[in-house]
Amino acid sequence: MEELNVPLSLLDDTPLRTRQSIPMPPPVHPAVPPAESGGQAPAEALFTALYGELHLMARRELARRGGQLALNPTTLLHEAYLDISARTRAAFPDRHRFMGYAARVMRGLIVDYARRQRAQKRGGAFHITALDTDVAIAAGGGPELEALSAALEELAAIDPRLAQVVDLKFFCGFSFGEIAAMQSVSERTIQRDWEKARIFLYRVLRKDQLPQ
Amino acid sequence: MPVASRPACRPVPVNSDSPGSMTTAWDATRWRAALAVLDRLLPLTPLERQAWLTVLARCNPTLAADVVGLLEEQRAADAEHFMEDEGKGS
Repeated sequence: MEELNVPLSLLDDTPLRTRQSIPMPPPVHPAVPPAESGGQAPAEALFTALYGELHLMARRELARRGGQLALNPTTLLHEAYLDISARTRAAFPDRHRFMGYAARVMRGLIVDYARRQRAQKRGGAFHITALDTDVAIAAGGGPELEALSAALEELAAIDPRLAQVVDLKFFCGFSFGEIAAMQSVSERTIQRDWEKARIFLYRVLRKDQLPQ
Repeated sequence: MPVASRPACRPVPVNSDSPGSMTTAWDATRWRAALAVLDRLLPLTPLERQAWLTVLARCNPTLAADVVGLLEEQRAADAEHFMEDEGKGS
């Protein structure tokens, strides 16, 4: 993954959402990297500092599945943390890129989880994974989610920002205004990005349904 | 939005696939060119879009046809409420 740096001031960004109903995180890591780190904030420090928003993101991402996946948001979030922190050199230039990256990681975990669920329902081999230790097995996910996720990866290769808007909007439930504030652009810009991404995804997913 | 922001007649590389074709995947260059035009067109009124596309079609008919095809996809996506619940009205 691309290595990026982040100014410490970004950690002080005003939260987009209230944290009243969000449980406090366990003390995983110091929230802010030491000053001698040269102003860089590694992913794990950002993860800790933005835990409340990330937890809400996980809840929304799972809620979008309409209860089909009985994956616990806290488990999803902690799995995402493990994924992100495993990339020990990962650091990000700003908050919104980290949030977009975290959203992408969560989407990937959900797709993997749904794929395993389907394999188990088909009678395939039982795979022991970290996620399965803390979740109830339920129906759902479906190939549509995988197709959409694959199309999003195609879009990310063409225009990463468009794919990130979809991750934040469609999978995490952020509003256009919230994404615009996150990315320091106008809401109209985000609306336009969303529309371009939607057209792209519609074209790609529909093309896949055509006879070859 | 003034129609003065009409396209400059510069050739944009696209592959040899027929304009607007859905039978083969577009390469990244072709997508980026089409998305860049869409970025200019989406805020415009239908009449302004038509004027823009008319000019574009004179200098780059393939790109213009690609964009027209994508605008048709947008209408189809709207009709099917594709990703609509999350994307509209917020």
